[in-house]
Amino acid sequence: MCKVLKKMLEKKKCPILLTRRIACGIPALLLPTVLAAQEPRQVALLRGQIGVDPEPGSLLAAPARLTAKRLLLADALARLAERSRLQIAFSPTLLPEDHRVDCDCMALSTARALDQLLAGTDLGYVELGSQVVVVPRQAPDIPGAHWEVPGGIPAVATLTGVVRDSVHLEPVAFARVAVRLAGGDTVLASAVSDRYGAFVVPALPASEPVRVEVRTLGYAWTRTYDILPAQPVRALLSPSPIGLEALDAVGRPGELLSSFRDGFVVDSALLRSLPAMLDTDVGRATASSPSASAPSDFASIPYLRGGSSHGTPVLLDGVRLFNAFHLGGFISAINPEVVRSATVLAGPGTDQLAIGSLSGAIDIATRDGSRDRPRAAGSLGLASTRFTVEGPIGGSASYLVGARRTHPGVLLELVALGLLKTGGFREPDFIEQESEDVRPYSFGDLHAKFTADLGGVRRLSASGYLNSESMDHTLEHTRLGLPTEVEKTAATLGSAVFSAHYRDRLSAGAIVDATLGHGRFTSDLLNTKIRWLGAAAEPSDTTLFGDGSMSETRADLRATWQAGGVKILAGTQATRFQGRHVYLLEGDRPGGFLEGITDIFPQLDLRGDRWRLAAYSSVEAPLRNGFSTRAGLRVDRFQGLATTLAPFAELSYGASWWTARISGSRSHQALASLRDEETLLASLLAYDLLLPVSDAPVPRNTEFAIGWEGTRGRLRVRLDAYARILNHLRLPDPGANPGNPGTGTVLADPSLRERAHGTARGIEARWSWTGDRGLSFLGSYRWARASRTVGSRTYTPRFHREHEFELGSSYRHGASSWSARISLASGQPQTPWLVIVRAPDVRTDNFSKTRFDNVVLLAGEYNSARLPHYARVDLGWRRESEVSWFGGGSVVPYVTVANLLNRRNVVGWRPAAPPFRGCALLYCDAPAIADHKAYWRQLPIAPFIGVEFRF
Amino acid sequence: MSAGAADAGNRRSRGLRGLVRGLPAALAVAGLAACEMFRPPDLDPDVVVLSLLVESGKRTAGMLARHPHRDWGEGHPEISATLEGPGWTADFFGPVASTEICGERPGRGPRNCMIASLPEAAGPGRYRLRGTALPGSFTGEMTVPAIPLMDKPADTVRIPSPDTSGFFRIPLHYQVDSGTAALLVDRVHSRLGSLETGLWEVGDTLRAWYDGSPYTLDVRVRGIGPNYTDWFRHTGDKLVLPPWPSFGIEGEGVYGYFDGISAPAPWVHIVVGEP
Repeated sequence: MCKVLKKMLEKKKCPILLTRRIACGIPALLLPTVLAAQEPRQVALLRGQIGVDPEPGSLLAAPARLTAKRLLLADALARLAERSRLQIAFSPTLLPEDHRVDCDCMALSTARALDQLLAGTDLGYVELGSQVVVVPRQAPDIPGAHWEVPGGIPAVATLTGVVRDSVHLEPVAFARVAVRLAGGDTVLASAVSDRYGAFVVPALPASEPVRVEVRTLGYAWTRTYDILPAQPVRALLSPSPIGLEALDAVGRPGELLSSFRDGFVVDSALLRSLPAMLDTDVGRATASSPSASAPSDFASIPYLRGGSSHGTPVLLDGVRLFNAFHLGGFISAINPEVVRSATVLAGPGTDQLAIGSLSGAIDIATRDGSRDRPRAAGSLGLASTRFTVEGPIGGSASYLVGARRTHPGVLLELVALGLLKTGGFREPDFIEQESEDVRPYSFGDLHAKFTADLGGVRRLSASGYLNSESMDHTLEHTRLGLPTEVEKTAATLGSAVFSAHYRDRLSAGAIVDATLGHGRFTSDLLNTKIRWLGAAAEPSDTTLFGDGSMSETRADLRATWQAGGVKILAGTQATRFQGRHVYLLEGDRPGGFLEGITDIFPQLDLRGDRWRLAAYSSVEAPLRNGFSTRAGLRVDRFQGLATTLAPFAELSYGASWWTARISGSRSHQALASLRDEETLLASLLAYDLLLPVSDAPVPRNTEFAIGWEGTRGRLRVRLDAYARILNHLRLPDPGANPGNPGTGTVLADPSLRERAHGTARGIEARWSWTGDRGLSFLGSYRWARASRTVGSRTYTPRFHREHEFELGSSYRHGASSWSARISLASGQPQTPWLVIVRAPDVRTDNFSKTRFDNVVLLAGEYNSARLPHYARVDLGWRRESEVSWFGGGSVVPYVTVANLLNRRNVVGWRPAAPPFRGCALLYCDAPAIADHKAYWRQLPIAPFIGVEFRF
Repeated sequence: MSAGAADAGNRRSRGLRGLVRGLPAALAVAGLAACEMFRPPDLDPDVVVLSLLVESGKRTAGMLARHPHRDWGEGHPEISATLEGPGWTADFFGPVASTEICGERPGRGPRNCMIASLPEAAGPGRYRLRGTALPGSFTGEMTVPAIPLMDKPADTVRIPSPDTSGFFRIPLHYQVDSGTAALLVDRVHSRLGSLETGLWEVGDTLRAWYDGSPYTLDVRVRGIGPNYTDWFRHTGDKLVLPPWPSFGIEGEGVYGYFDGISAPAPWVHIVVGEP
């Protein structure tokens, strides 16, 4: 049979999981199922022994004929069954992982061989009919509160385990694990696997047959255990049914967007099912969540529930990644190939409690490397190429290295035009002759990760991330009668993240996590001018010098303990933030592509350094009649500022097909942003610089939320409503600078800004429907209101949209898949333009000797009107083809057309004179009058092509 | 390899090169398509803008009325207005053919230049404006400032050669009354030979340029009131949020400035660059 299965494997007729070792063990593995099916109660009550003195002629007295050296116990038992010609039944999940045995048992009886093999375990053996069954010797002695499941059965045991992909052995997060009594429908207890795939299900009966169901995106996995395993179990999820232990493993299409109480999860499957923009983009995928909203088409990282970027950290493996994008925000800086999932943490929850930010977080978890064999994947896109290699290191560790780099020169025109369009980078118009030498804009990122599986839930991982983007520009000005001036401009931005994580199991229901991390962002800007007088050069004149950095170093220690249905989380955290933003502008305004840099920031010399120490704890406990509760408290000590308390409480109710919850929380952060979201440039350039607030009180968020979620058939619906109050913000007053509402620099010193507060409230709905013919839909709708109050002025922030509707659909037919994304939204706020007060100026100029007109533009209340509504349709196509190159793999060409209907969505406008207006043949109306609205468009129709490969 | 296959390979290669070359162009087109779209704002076409500066020493006042939100052929503003001075009133009439008195060259937009003949030369003091326009009635109020008194330089001043070329500052001392918000500076550069008028916020220095060659700068100043100065400060391409400054005119749908300007102070001659 073993040979037959091996042949099936070679011909790929066998399920992927059936490796040689497991395939050869199938004769033994199948047997308990027969028993379980026939006599479940009898099996449940079985207790094994060792040291049995077999009666002559009995099964246990049969010669073992076994020699084993350093064999895994499962393999040794399988070999014993083969050699002794006995039917030996055992459950692999009951066996200790990585337990290797020696047995020089050629001349011994089966009983003595089993004594040797099972020594050091809790297992024994018993003869049952024509089989020998390996079962626990006694009920597991697992600490836990005394609890009862329906029927009065004492619940004293805890099930722990790890959910993994069956092929790569990669942990699977957010899988729902439910445990029922075998043959019953009532869920005894349930849990959700965490980001490392680990789960703990407490309060289970130790000696009753139970059915464990693991459900996650796309598939379900079910096992029946006669006796609850004492050791961590491993749930291997496979895309096809597997027959191990003859259990019910049925694949089914799953949700497009997973959700759990505290947020929304975008996994790699959804990531690839959305139309790609330049590249598959994890940031843009998170905008599928109704809680997330992109401030413009040019921003890949969305804002959450009326908050802005500074309150929503992007975490990469638990550590803050600053400015997690390239191209001014257009494309996420994370190689999609290394992403396992991205979680949008928008509302109150225990994860939020541990992060302690002002406005949720976007938590990106990277994959572990493949543990089955070396693999390579990548893509060749319009702008960049990415490549990832991964593979096993020994039997229990893996590596993953991913890199991405732009193609030389391709992006230059796009970037130059895009930046010119912002108005912040204007073309010089006074130069008689100029020549340019531009080294193209480029970006690159590199990610490397090492993971060691230490057995069960224990693991160690370390990952490093590095990115940079740069642009160099040389402009030679030649003016009549003046020295030639050579202007050199260079800009380099970069981020780096390092994180190390260790997890261990303290006891049956307790897991401890330790994380160390460091994230850093640097920016260097330089503009110099050199004047040439003949062959001699004057000393160079530095007109702009920018040297900025910000970093966050953090250490987390967290323990999770589950017993008797109660889950307790306790953690401590130390964070140090350092910021230094020095931008010196001297002499003439810089030119080149930094000519308009003064629209982005003024002269700045800001420095800050602050520690934050925190301790937090939360308790989750079931109540009666389907109710359960969570409550927690976080205490923060902001060095030199304040000590704050941040409570969290939630009451939830679970029925058979729906759940509901109501919660409230508070959070603080001592970081303020240099960024002014009200400037038009802020919609186009997403860079944010942070600095610790200089004085108390620290910014605070108070939030209340209610939610409902239900599943009926293939339809899943989730509704959330929330209300937030943001206090002690540092915001500029849009009307503080008369005549310049919302037109200050994008970045400025936050300590000079006013204390402000804000509110946000909204209703979010999300639904998904999956058909069985490859068609699926994911939709969301959000209504929300947001406001900021600075001084006596209350306004809607410019990035906010009141209504947003999204519908994504995907259809797979054969090797091709089509995806579409329809976005409809109300317009963002704008300040109405009411009157052009056009009148003569009293000044005269040298040329015309006359006065000229000038205008005052009178506006209505700030942001009291709306831009035209927003609509966009993106369409994507992919086709997967199997190829035999490099030992076999797949190639996936893809095409995306963004804004298929080329709708002219706008992000804002500014008063301007129309091009060439006022200059006729003989008369030039100078200066030109700003009497038109110059709308800034969002993304026009844009095709993106590329090809992905995987070997 | 056959010739046909080689040709096919070359075509593919050319096609690939063309595609690579075409990418920047395609991206450039996409970028261009994202350029600004210019659209006129949707504004009330009946809005009227008045601009009126009463200059002391003059017996005529010119007021320019304009429909700033109308195109050229869409009808001129119809205004009836009265200027009230110290003990007298004068009605505006017009339009008059020459718009220079209203501060503007002829030939631009739907507007009228109207004048009022004053019974006496205007002088420092309080003035009022009343009238009606298409959107409704309006009123205005302002004070004509007194002539600034220059203390220093009083007549002629010689500025020694600055050490290096570039901008430098000429110290000034003067006296103005409370109705003066800014100074209107007339200056004649001897090398350029032209009169240049600029608004000068009240300060204690005058900025001038020296490029190594001596020249004479003739300067005289006039006081101008806060209504015009406020208007001037808010000019530009940025929106002004409410509450708006009045600029001297109040009325539904009627905007603009109403202010006074003094007669000029005597010329001051500044010699720049002589040893």
